[in-house]
Amino acid sequence: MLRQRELNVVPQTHSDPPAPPVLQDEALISAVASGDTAALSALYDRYARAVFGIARRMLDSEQTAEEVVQDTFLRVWHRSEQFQAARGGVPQWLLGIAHHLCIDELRRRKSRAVMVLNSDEPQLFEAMQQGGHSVDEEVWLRERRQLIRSALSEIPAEQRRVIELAYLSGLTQSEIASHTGEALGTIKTRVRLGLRKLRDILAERHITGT
Amino acid sequence: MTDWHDLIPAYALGALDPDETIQIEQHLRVDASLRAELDRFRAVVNTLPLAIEPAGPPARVKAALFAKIAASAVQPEAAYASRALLRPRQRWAVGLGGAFVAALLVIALLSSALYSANTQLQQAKATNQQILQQVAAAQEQATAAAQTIGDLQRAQQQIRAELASARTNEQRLAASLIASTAELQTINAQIEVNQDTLVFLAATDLATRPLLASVGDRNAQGSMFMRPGRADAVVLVRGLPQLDQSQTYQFWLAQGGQQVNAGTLIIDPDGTGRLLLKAPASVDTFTQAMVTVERNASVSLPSTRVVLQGSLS
Repeated sequence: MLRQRELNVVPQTHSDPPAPPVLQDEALISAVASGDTAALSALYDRYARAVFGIARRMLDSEQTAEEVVQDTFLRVWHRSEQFQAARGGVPQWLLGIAHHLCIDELRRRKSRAVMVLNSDEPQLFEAMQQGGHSVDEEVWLRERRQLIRSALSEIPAEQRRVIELAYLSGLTQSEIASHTGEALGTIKTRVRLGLRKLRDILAERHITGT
Repeated sequence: MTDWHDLIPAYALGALDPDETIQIEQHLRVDASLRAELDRFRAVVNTLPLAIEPAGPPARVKAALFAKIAASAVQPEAAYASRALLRPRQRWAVGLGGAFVAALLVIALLSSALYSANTQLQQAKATNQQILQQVAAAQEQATAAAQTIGDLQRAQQQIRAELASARTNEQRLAASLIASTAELQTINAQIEVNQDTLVFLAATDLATRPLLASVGDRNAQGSMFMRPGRADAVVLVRGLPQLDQSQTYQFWLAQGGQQVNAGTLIIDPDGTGRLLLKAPASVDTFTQAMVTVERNASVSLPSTRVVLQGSLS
């Protein structure tokens, strides 16, 4: 089974999150831009697990997920100068690249929606359970994951569901409405309200800006 | 009216349909507040992958990655572009020499530009020909329209003339009708008088009194036909010349010193005349009758020009 019940939705006591490894990440990116393969190797060790996790989750294929990992870091290698710290941290930028690669792959598949919708397993944001962590994983990343999962757990399930279908399955709102049989207006409202609520929660906990 | 801010969350999530995506991107180009809103929601969306449980890829993935990077150190773009998953359509171009590709590109661009210019020239010629044909057709139409307008003006003038002639004829006919109507009324009145006269003259109790010419009018004579006890009577005369329009023959009845104007005698061209009169009292009460020449028919006393006279006793 590819999907694992890995994430935890149990609300936590919230305090200011730990500071991200901004300086280390940005220093690594700068080194990569100058052709330092050791810096790229360090970034790979830090984020390859996250990239592989999301790719495997979205594509439901070990082999394709491995290709996404390679392609993600190849892009980092060739386009590191395009990184803009003002628009988010390195992990957001790097995982954003991986997400786009997965969406591109999903949209090449005609039956991309079936993968999620036909699954009997609980979906991503509803399947959050405490899982094991690699000893090599950054503490910041691990704690950030818990905070975001906690925020997601506070969104109504139907709103979390449409966000998941859009983000992980690459479906548009019309496609979600078509596949779920619900009104398009209802889907739009859930997307809008769900993301606004998530924005407010994340801002309140200083995970993102306001 | 669409509130574009409502679409920003779905756009950041990549969930808008293509038409909505086009619209929101047009507004994003000109609306800084929308762009700021988009940045906030993108930050939210970018946190989502952090929630997914990581998993360690096989070690061979990293080895293959760095092998490709090492290969790309020789041909960096070729190594990167050879990825089948991400850029399958660019694979053909990697092995071509740069100069050859550049030359092909220049030739292709020049050929494309020449073909485009020639196509535009042909299109311009065709368009010009179409415009000339349209101008010629418009001129023909204008000439035909001018002829039609001339024809219509001439027809209008003819209709006006015919209408004026018809009005003149109508007026003439109306006048003629009035004259005919008056003449018919006169004839009817005369017929009625004649009928009354004939009825009167056919009575069995009819009495006749002669009217004799005065001195100087020997050819004139007449008769008055009367019936006892009645106020009406008939006068017939002959040998009287027609008078000009300023004079009339008036018939008078007299009793003692009183004269009564009893009517006007109508004289035909042959000198004959008649009068069906209605006296104010029975004609038996009058002793004298006479015909005089007067200036008008409404006089109350007879003149001295007596042309016929007779006794009624």
